[in-house]
Amino acid sequence: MAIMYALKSSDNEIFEVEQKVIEQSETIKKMIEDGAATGEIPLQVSSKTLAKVLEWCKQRQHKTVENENDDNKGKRKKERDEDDDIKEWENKFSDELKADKDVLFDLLLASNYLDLPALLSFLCQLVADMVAGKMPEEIRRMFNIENDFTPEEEKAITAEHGWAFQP
Amino acid sequence: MIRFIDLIPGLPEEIALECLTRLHYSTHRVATRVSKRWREIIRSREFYNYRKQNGLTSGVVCLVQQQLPVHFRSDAFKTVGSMSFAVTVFDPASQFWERLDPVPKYPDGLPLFCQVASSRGKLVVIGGWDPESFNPTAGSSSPGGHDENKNALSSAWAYDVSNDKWTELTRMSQERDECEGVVIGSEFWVVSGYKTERQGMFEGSAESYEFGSGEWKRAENAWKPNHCPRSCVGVGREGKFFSWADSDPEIRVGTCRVQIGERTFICGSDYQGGPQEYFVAEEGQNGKLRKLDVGEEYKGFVQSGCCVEI
Repeated sequence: MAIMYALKSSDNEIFEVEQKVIEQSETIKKMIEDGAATGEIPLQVSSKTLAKVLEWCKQRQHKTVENENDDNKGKRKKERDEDDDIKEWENKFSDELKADKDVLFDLLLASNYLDLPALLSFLCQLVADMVAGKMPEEIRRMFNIENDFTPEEEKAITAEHGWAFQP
Repeated sequence: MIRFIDLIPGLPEEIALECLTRLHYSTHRVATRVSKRWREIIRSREFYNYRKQNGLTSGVVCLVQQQLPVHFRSDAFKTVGSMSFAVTVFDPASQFWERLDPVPKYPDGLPLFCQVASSRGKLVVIGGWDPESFNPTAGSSSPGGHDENKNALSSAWAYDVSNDKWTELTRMSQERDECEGVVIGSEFWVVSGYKTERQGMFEGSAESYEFGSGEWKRAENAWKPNHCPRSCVGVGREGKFFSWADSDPEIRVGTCRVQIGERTFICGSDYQGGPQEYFVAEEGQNGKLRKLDVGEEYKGFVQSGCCVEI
């Protein structure tokens, strides 16, 4: 029988989660170990964001368990199929986040607060991928970054080439 | 008053930095034009060091290559005599080929016989002859080589890229013109080469320089005599040298190898002046080669190559 924990979001929604799933968060794991987690665990994360975090954690947990149960026979094909499944899931997960920057940023903050390094790294890569193939003005607009170059400076840096003059 | 502008508004500084360090190198140029802070960070030494330490850089092949005219056909190879060299970049991860814009000081092509090396993400072009006057450019050599009168040299020099400073090492045991330098761990090996009176008769010996003690150690029978070691020295099991020129007949002439992590990228041609063919060897596959399909514009003679981590 799996041990369950109740997580309470900042807007007072309760999420019942298996210990193994939620222990991926170093922050929560520490709370459990310290014995601070009796009853509901209150978190400074909105229910919308927390649902996304748990979606990620469950997917990761699923993957780890299946790998442990595999015997070597026929593993390769199964692994390949699973890799495809995970890729497909990740793509869907990424596409939803790319479409809504606010959710993406909330999730980044939550993964930092909950200490989920794998999710944090995944999301940072997602932000970096969003920059690729865009012009400076598009990047600024996407992230609300102020353009602090003067028109002269902008002209100069647009014209520069990649070679440095070192003797 | 200095206004502090967020790197990415809505994200703490350290998370925004994590995002920037994951930008693909091909995005860096555009990203430096987003804001002053993006520019300052992406261009900084620390930014590169952090990416390098965390395995976020990628290794690409940089080649000094002869530029072929646009209307070039393989069967017309011999008739084309362009002596203009440029830098070609190949990214093994994306299989993407690219020719870089000319260096502003050399709009008509890089110096003839120049060599490339890399240090901390930078490509360094060393030596060669001016393409107009055929005079040597300043600052060539390291190690061996010959002087203006074709006398073979026994000197070796180390170049410090950050300080742009050449330092002479102690002398090697003998002169070595057209030798090859290879770094193995903390040792710098100089393979083969020939003495002044033995023009073109390559030695079987090699010697290694220990950076700590500053001493050379000589090894006999380290290289197949009478074979040119230039750009083609490979290091096999137990640190034994071999020539990549022997790996496939299609690349036996003018062989040039570039090591990228566990992969070796090799090019060369079947005959003098022939089109370049390209192969990749993965470590641990007993030197099995895989041929690359490469566009006609990248079939020009390759003079030198190196791996750059960017």
